[in-house]
Amino acid sequence: MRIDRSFAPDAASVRAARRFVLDAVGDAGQERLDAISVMVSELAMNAVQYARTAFDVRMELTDESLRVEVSDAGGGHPQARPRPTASSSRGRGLFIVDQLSDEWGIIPAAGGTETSVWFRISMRDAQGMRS
Amino acid sequence: MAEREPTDEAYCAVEVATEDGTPVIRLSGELDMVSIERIRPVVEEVLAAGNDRLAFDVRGLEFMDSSGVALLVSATRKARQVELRHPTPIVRRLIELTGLTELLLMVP
Repeated sequence: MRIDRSFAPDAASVRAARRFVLDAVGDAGQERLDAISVMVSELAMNAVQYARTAFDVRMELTDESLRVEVSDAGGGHPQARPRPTASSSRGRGLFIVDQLSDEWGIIPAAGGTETSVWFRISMRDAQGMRS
Repeated sequence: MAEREPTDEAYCAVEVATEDGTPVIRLSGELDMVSIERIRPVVEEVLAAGNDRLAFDVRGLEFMDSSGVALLVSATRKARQVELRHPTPIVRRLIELTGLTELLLMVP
């Protein structure tokens, strides 16, 4: 299943993006749904705070995994930081995505202005069954 | 299931109580970059009243992202002791993976 949706560059879109992805995923176990929700929130927040352009959320859901990509036209260069110190006030978003995902990455604006950040999380449980 | 679209103001509720002399900020719902705008002034007001101890009761907090982590960090800078009471699994996971266990006391 592939679904795309575009969101306005508005803080309220962060929650709308979380709901969009969670509604499409359905039942996948609370722990995994929590992780997905947090990661979508972090990527959408990056787009709203730093790019200030409309952003697209693209989902690819299979029995194996969920891949979510958030793209904006801000032409920014998000950077993963090493583990932030406990007391730093910012810079935790992509660190959290790194910790909660199985795989993630940044597709920088090469020539164009679209920058994408994506993550993938397994949809199988330890027994190899979709929960 | 019926669509619920609570207003921005309604999706994180905050309540301040005092238990044994410690101010307790109870949060429930979803804490993100929008809802935090209403919560931050409440926390600042409690800290401005000269409290050096502060507790957050987050048993009803269903969602939190790095905005909430940043709020907790800023509270630990201003108060001598910050307790996080009854964290839900996602809140506990975020606190642990961002290293905030060094800065605040988690009470199960």
